[in-house]
Amino acid sequence: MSYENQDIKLKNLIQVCKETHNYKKIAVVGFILIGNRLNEIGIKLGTRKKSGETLVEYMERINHVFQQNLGILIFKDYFIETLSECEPLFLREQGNIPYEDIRTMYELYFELRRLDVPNLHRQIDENDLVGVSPYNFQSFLSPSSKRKHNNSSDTLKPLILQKIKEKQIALQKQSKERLNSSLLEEVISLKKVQNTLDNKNKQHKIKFEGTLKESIDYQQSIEKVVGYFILGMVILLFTLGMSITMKVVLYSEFFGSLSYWALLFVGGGAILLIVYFTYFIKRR
Amino acid sequence: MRIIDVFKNLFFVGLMVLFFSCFFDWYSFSMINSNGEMIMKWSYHLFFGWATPFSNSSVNNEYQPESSLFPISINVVLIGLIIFSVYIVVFKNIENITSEKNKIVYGYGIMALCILILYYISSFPWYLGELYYPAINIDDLESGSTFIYTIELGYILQVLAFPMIFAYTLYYLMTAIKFEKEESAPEKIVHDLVLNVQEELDFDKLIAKEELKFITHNKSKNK
Repeated sequence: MSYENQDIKLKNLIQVCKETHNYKKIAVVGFILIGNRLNEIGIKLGTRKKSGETLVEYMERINHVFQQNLGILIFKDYFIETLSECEPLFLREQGNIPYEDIRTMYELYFELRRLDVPNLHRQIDENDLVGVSPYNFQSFLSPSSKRKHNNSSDTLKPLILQKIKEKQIALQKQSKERLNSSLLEEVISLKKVQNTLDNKNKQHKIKFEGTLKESIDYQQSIEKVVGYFILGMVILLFTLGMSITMKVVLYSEFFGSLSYWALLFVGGGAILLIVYFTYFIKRR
Repeated sequence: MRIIDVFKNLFFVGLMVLFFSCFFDWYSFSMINSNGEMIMKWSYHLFFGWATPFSNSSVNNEYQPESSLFPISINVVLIGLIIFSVYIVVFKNIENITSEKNKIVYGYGIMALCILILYYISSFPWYLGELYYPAINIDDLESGSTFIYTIELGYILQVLAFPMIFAYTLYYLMTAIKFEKEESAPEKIVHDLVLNVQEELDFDKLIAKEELKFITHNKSKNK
């Protein structure tokens, strides 16, 4: 049901409840609406409500997670304060709360509805982010290009981290005034970049979306199979060469005939190893 | 045809070569007397051990090798891994596998085959003990006979199979280890999840109940 339809029906319900003086029903519906909206926000942000957890506790937990990780608050203190006044009373009195509190609850509900949060289960596309062009170096840090720019990115790392920090602080300040989904996505994107830079030296998997076949990094990696073939030949020739060499050592009387084979295998292996290093390691 | 398909086919051919290698002799040594007649021959087969065509010859019995080279259990593992690898190459294209865990299991599985082949290739000369490797002819000047020690087709096929298999195996394993699909829950799943946890509010029903209450209340008031 769209918010528009819901609002019309809600208005009708409130009117008829006023006629019957059934304020409890208005309060119960309001409380359910707040709960539903909080659940929606929580799921979109990747935090589900635990069983037995009150709405205030749930809001505080979401705030705590985002404060700890991104330095921003999803729910303003006013939201939590208001609900922490209404919720215990509502639960204790089983919906029989004063008219003023009912009004406050509905105000809170409409405030929560205005809260624009992104669906964090969706992968944030760089192109979705407006106004973060200075941080487009995220692609520059993609695994395929990371190698090429390894040295230059090391030199720039402190500067980039400083810039990220400045931007993060600015976004945190902005979030206190008005939080919206693009701002939150921007904060998360910056955090990702920061983590990428911090963990740059650690071994990471190359992530791909869609199918493996469509990944450019994968397409590039296919060429390596030729190198693997040469590497296999190197391993084989060295193994055979070493086996024969050891046998030559044991039967020194056949040194002349067997050492020829050993030399052939080890020499062939060495040449292929040079080829492998020249064309498949140094060129990377 | 893409380069990876070429190596995939090569991998398959390598597996076939490897499989057939198990059914050929791996090593033989024989003695040819001064008349050019073979009077002794022992051949090593992976599953049947040492065998000879001269069963009742005393000269032949004198040169009989002591024991089998490879334990039969390892040979069974080899056959098992070959069958497993054929299954992987035919049915489990790495580009289409969605489970990360499966990909890694398959990758390590076929890499285990490569390691086992390497074990066979490298340990075979040691298992031969005092028998010469890879091949040698020794002429006994006193008796005029010739001893021929040589590796046979089975071992040669095993050696040939290794590079055929290794390239695709390493590619498969590296791809399984390096690449990871980014999991993203589609919008619909999140939407369904939200609907699932939300408490249902049937406004029409609530309004109707309240209106009924209102009407009943008014009626009783009028009476």
